[in-house]
Amino acid sequence: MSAFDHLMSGFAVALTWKGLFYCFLGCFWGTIVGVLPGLGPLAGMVLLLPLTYGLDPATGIIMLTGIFYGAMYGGSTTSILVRIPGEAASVVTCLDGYEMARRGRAGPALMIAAVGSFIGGTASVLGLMLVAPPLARVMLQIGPPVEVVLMLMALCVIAFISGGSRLKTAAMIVLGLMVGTIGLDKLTGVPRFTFGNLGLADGLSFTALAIGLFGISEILLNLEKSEAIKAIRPRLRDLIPRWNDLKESAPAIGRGTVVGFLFGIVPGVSHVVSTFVAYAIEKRFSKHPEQFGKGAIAGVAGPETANNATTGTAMIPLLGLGIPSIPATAILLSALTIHGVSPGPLLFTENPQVFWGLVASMYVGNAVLLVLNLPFVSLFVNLLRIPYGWLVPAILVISVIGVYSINFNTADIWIMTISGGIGYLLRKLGYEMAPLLLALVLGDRLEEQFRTALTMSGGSYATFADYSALIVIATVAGLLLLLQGFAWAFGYSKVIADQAERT
Amino acid sequence: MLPDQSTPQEADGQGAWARPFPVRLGEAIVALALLASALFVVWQAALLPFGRVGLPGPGFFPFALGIALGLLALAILYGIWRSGPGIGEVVFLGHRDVLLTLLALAGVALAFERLGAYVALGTFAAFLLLLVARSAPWRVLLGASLGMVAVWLFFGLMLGVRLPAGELWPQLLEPTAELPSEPSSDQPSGQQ
Repeated sequence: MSAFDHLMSGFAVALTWKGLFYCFLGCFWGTIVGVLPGLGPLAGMVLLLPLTYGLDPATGIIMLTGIFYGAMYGGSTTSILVRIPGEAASVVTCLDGYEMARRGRAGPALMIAAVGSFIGGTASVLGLMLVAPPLARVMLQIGPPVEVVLMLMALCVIAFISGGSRLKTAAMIVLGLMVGTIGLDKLTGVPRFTFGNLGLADGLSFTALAIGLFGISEILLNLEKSEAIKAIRPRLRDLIPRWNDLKESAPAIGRGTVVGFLFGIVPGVSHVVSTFVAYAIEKRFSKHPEQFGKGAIAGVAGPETANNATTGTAMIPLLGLGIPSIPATAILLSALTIHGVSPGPLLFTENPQVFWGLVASMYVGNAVLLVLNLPFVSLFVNLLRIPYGWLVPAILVISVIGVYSINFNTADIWIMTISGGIGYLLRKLGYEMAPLLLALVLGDRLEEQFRTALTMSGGSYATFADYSALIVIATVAGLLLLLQGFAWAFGYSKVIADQAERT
Repeated sequence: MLPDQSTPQEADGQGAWARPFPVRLGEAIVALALLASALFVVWQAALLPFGRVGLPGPGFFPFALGIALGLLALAILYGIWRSGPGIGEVVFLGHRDVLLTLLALAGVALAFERLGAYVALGTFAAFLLLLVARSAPWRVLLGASLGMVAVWLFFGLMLGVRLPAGELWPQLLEPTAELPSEPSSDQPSGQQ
């Protein structure tokens, strides 16, 4: 079958009423969490993760991915209308987007952000479709040692580039790997840290931990901020941009697509980095750099496009290699694993409908989001008027039911509550939860492959530095250094990422 | 993410329960907790089959991770010690709404199977609407009731999730059902 035939079979999955409904639901919820300041894509995904357990793998993953890229779209709305970024990747959009809104040009800013997001998002899906299958074929040729090297590299890069203290991030990674060892040892069946409790044989519930560490802690942190939000309200007829807006935005959208696509592969904070780099590039290329920060439309178009162009690329390591590079794809990995689907090389042979259904749904979802984010933008802006205190019980009730319905065990509600409290305290003290989550997801496989590789090599650690492993290390390190150099050349630094995270 | 740097003014607005807490002290407590966890894991991992360095057993990976976490915790503690004396930055802990929400969640975990999902979640929603959202009582009642109807429609009917009906209600409705029957004269009392 050719890629075109596969894509058509994917559309057959995505365009069923069920596929469309859950794609719409994911995009809709994603836009809501993107619009609501404080609730990011990650929290939005983990909160609805349990709902996917009753669905088939393709539909479940379509919904979760819809939340991921839906939040990227929605994040720009509050950046432009309220000057509060809905999520970290929309920080840069505040600079010029809000200035445009203040000058009565909120409509064109929203329109260009949505169109740029659509183009960037669609182009990145095209990239995902073309790159992931050949990458998976390469992965089939390489064995456990290289997989171990890749996973370790992903964790090291996250420790190196994520915001805040590297020591604390490294501690969270090791803690995540350690929590992942609870339960029966996969290779020998020996119970570890279960203390005779059969309920711990499968380890601590990932969903309960993820909802607690991300969802609950985020809600608790947001409860501390009680300022009223005053949004600028755009009118539908004001959405149409002027000819000059289109002329200035078109090249920015093109450049943003390339930047987002390239930076999407960087583990950790790719979407945040890409927006800063895209903004810096637009400023460098502009004939009127002095207008940046005062309402330049290219300052909205470039970063918003880049932000959405990372979504497809960020899926490549997950679907092609089976290794998540960002926390959002770690959630997707967990969802796939729960459904018995292995992402990576086997996905394309054993469950092609999941991959191609997802790709097709992302094309559909990007179009759905364009419609949701333009004519219905006022609807989402109205959400900002709902007091946060009213949203909290609704979100928590969904979380409790979702967590309970996995194993029908109240112990999971306790795990969620306790990890929520711990996550809240750790985040107040500057510890990041994303590396912990990523390590928790990767831990099992990292250990399994590490031990398998050693068994295969007769106990020789040199297997992790053989020819193919060295090639992979050199390629990945070279690519990352190139992108880092590119980012530095345009004025991006870790300090800026820290500021974005802090916002 | 960097530590939350709330100002005292913000904390006043957050409610009277929030108290300033030195970041360095908090970091030291977390580092000590990580160190304690690391030592515990190393101890427990040492009880598992270790294997060889070349062919590791189930205890090898947790043992190595425990050592790594212990070293990282010590490095964090060293960093705190090196930064010298003084209170430094503070975070505000003990926000009223945060504490009430955590308390309510613990209550749900306790009552979920005993009282039944709808009663536990309805009470939970009402509690939060009243004390966190600070809504009027009639709104609280209406919101919690409609919320439970929505939960039943969405989770119960649409998704078919079977939520617990409550262990307490059958006992209350049929109090005699659980009572021991009249002992017969030929039955030993220990078997009742």
